[in-house]
Amino acid sequence: MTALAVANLTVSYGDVVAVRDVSFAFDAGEVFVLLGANGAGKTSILRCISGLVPARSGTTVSGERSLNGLSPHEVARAGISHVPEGRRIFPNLSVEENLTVSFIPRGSDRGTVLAAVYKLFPRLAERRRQFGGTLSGGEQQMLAIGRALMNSPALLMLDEPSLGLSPVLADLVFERLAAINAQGTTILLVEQNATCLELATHGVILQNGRVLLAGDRAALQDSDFVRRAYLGI
Amino acid sequence: MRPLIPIAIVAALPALPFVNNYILAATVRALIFIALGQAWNIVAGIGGQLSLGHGVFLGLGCYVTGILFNELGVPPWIGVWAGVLVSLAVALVMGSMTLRMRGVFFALATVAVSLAFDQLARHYVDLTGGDNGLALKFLGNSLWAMQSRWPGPFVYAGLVFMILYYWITRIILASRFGLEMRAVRDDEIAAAAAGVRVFRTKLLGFLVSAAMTALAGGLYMQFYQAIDPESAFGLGQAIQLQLPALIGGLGTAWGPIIGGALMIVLSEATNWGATRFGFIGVDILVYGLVLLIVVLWAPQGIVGVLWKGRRR
Repeated sequence: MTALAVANLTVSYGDVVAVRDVSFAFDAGEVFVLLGANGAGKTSILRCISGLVPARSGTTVSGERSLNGLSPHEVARAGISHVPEGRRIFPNLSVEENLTVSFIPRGSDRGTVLAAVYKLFPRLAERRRQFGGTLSGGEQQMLAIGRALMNSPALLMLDEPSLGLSPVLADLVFERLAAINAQGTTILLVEQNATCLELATHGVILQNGRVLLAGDRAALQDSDFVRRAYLGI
Repeated sequence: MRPLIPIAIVAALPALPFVNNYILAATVRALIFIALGQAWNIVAGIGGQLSLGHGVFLGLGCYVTGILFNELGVPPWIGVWAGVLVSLAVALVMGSMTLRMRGVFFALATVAVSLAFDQLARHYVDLTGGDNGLALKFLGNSLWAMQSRWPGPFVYAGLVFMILYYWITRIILASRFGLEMRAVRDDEIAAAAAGVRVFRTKLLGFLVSAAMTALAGGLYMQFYQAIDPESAFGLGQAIQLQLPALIGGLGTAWGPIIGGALMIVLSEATNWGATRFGFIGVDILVYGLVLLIVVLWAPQGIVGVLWKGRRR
């Protein structure tokens, strides 16, 4: 089953076109990666799917349901969670309040979902009464991911979760994402860090708002873009 | 220590007839100030929407109560609820127009609404008394007309307001609605992404706050017996309404109580000093200084300084 299909999507801010005619689709259970440098349009694509910015043209469809024109809370209620760029946790809410506020009931009660998040990120359980703003960068990233999971999402979208983290912490985050995916959550991952391809099933490489290359993990790892990023040539 | 405060207040009540009227009147002013501050604290402290237009709801509470009483003989017990309803209607329109704006644009839009009401109150002289304001017809001591020569009854009424509004604030803070308001205050985009209906949450907080302000406006009118456009819709009043929460601690239930009490003590002390030594308006200067100190060194307010590390 198709988890998300984006077709001919164009996003612009005034006269500046950030995303041009981008199409991709992936199935439930996948880890799909949008890879690209700064300004490639990755964030705009996620924000558009989430309903935070309108599409100029094109469609976004999740399963059978069109996401076009939905407001952000409707997208969240449709089972699509967005971990925004820069984490954007609530600094003056406690860790537990950060998690609670994004709980959306879907069969399981809040305590069960909360316990599952704490099991995945034991560090958050230790700091449950602390204000979000007092956490370290890595802990804040875990909190942002945990907050998105409180929605029990079918699709989890993450915007550069490794940004600003040490390589060790970034690996930890990717390892947790693999665990989340293994439990059945589809993941759409936006990154400029090519390490994330280890996780990927499929993906696209974006450049200047266009799709440069689409393919499975092997094809992406083999691409010039990734070689250059790795080898610096 | 905290549970002792209500006990001390209740224990002190029978002594009220023996307290001099000056102290009682100052206490009423403090209690009115506290109630209005708590109302503003809901939308601004908890919800993060810095409204400079709450004078509109104070004014509507006063004017509607007063006009209904003077023109139609409607007792304030009923009139004030009409004021609340009118305020809710105005808040619905005003909020729908302004709450989609961010930060300073919202604040400026609420100033514009205040100015519009200021002009309306000055223009419809037959109803509002125009620039001179509206004075209640004074009937002497009357429970029905909620009038009293002695400030004592207003102390009781003010205490009821303080406790009720404190309690409402606590309930909101502990509720899902309060949590969503605080999330919106911290980060609107993250709140939307977390599934919060941002605009609806803001509007609901604005309505609750407006209704509470108008209700406290009823007490204001009965105590002062008069209202004028400047006291209701002026920028000075708009700032005055923010001080208890700003100084005491934004978004906390105790903040407006502590801040409001402190401001009245300061204002009475400086007033006394001003008349004694001939500095007119020194209280405004002291307000400004206190506000400056709080903003610079204690943005969490007095509560934030006192209860550092503890949650509210």
